[in-house]
Amino acid sequence: MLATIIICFVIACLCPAILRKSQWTSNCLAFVPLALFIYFIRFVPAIQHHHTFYSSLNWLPALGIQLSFYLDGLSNLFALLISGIGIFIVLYSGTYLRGNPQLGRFYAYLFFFMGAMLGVVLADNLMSLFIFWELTSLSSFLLISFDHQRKAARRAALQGLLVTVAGGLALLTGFILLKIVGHSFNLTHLTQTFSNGLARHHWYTLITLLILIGAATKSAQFPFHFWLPNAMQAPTPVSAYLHSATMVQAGVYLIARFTPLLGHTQLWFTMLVMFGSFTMLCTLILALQSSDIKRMLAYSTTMALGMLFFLLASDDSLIINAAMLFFFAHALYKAGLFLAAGNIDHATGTRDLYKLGGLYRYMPITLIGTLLCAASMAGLPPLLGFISKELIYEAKLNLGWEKSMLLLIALLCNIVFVIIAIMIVIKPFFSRQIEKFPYKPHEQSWQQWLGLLVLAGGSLFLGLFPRLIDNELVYPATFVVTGKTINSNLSLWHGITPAFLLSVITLLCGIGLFMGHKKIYMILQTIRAWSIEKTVDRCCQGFVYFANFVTVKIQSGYLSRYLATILAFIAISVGVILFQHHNYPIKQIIPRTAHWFDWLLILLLLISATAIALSKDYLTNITLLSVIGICTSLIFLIYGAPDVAITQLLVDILTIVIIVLALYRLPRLPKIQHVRKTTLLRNATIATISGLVISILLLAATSVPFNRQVTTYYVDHAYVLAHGRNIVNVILVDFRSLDTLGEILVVALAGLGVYGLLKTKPGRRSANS
Amino acid sequence: MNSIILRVATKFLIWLILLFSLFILWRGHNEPGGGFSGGLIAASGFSLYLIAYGTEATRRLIRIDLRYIIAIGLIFALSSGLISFLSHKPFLSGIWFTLPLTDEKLGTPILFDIGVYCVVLGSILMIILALEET
Repeated sequence: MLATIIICFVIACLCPAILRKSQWTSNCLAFVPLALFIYFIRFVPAIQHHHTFYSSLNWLPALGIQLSFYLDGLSNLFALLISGIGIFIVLYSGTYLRGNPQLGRFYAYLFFFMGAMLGVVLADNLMSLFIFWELTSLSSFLLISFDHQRKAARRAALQGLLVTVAGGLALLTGFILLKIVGHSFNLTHLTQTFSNGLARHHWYTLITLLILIGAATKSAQFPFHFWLPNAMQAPTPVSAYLHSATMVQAGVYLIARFTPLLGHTQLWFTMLVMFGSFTMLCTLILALQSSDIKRMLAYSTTMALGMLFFLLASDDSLIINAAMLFFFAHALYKAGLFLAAGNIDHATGTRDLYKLGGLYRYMPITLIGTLLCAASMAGLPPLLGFISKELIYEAKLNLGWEKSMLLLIALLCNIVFVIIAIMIVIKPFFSRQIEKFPYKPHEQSWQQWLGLLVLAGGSLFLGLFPRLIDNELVYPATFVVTGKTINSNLSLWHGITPAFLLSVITLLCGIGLFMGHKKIYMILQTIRAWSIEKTVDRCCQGFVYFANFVTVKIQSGYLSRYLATILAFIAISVGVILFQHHNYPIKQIIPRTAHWFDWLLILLLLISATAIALSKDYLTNITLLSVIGICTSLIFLIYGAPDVAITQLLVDILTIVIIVLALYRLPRLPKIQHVRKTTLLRNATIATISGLVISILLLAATSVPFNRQVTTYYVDHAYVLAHGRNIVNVILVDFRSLDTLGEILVVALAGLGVYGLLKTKPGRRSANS
Repeated sequence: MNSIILRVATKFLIWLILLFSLFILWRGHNEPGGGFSGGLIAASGFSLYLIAYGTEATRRLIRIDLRYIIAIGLIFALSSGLISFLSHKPFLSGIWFTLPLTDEKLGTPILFDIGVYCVVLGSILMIILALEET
């Protein structure tokens, strides 16, 4: 299973290199998701009998983090849809973005996303789940901002990233709490430990809320719903993919996956119903307010997600089964509808429903696909959408009339689905063409309608023969969520039942309201509700302003001030501690064994230090500083630290070279004579105090008995373990090489950073922003 | 700097300094020296050349883009860790083998030291050249 994800990532890395011009390479890439689809479909017979598959790879065993994967009914359903719809998305994108010089980059992001998404639904270890979860956020950020030269795309991408990553942090906290409670990151292990749920633990509420927030942000539930319609800035195939079976459904997956562990409680039920119904009610208004096809479809996606949350709240197996079927049906028709919207946009150059019209003459194939998908969305027989809607009604009716409120919300939501479905078929294809389109409409190439037709045909075919997916896909997924066996018996015709009557009412209401949709649209246009999005934007802006304010206050830009601050801080903090613990005996100031040569060095040091303080020329100062450096390295040499001495000497030489070079470059250096008296006095005070404090600290530190344990270890083992006689070097490159690795990374980054700072031309930044 | 003495001396000195830096790198395991000091010596050698001949000549002398030198260094350091990782030992633990004829020991820490050498050399030269060019 790890292999499937790695394949996606490897293909993602290869894409920019192999995709240049030819159409065929992008067509051939569709074989990758096809192969994955076949791989997952091979598991279906075994999973039907409730077998599960597990594979694990140790990653950070000390922290209980593994790359472990787990395939059961639920993950298989999701994985099949991810890879299955992925086939057509990959095929579609090649022609949709034909001629785009960045096509390779696009495919890289797409496969990166596919791999991350498969990782989310397959992961068993919570930490690997979290990492893949964040990778989907990251890759969808890249996909949404693909057209990065447009400001709207950048903004939408950033918004999506902020919302989903904030949710991801909540999720991470929840996972860590779960680990503390259950002593394991492995989901299978946790589910076994708490086979009766976690409800009685006193952290239950906190964990549940955190995980629900994570799921709600990803699935764009109210009040986080605003990022999803904005994500429409992505190229259309991406929207189709993100909305149908992937990204936003990750939240639904998470809810379903955690139901055995956290579900079946009042809190779970209330929270999910609240999220679901608020989202449905809020976004159905927004859906009817919009005129852009993609935007309208996006709001219908949030409605569907709300419906799924709402259904998953229940602990009734029939309802869960209905939810799983609805998820499947929704993925098929929504991906199809988005692809159709892409075709319309591509063919005419506009997506405004009130401007489009008369396309049935030009795009017959797209029309057929759209018709079938929209019919499935509206819940017309004999499509899959009809069966799923019937099932929802039936299951809700079974609950009895005291929960009729919930039924009413579902009914309202379905009516709006019907309206949207009718609008999407009638408006672009059959209404009168009002104005000329930017492009001359034409049917698209086969790559662009094949996916649409297959998905639409799937809705029709599976609607006619629902038994094909009943026990194979839908029921195993339900079983994972509920753990109970039910008699799932999907069929097209149930006879005239209350559920059927409700379906008829839905349809009639939908048609009736469509007649008056112009009026509804006008009325809804007048509503200007308080927008959460604007509030979030304002908060983000305020944050930037605050950061700017603080930065301006702290960062004066003068190196001397920074140095003064740092030294004063060190002097004060160390000084206070030294003063509090003044019982360190200072034994001797200068070793009694000092040689005459040592005295010479000390004299030299003192003279040059005094000379620096008195000199009025920068070059003289630097030369004197190098004298101090050389004297220091000589002292190191005398007292038996040749390695330190060598390094000190070399660093000194290079520092001098760099400072001299920098001095030549600085345009206007103030003469030392011109520095104000007060500044001089302040600097002198700080320098004296910090020098004094550090000297006392060193003297005190050397007076404390020295613990030779570590030294002895290195001396004893340097040659035995690391075959080296130079202990310093052995420590650097062997014993503590991880530290050194970090250090050279810092050195490298410092080099690159200085290069970047010096090479950036001052004028360019203002042009960019 | 336009000084004939410096220029002529540098022509000889730079090779000596570079050779010396490699020597310091090699002997670092048993005697004072190592990748860090070696890299610094090489960098000071190149900066001597820079002072004598200017940036363009120095870039021509180095030939490779400095960013690649840094990258190669990091790859060396990482690969020394990955070798031990692939032979099922903790990341970055030293793997040693004895050379057949002499009794010398050779191991992955030497790769690591070469990595340190390259990174230090590359970064410092990058800073110095950038300073000189602006």
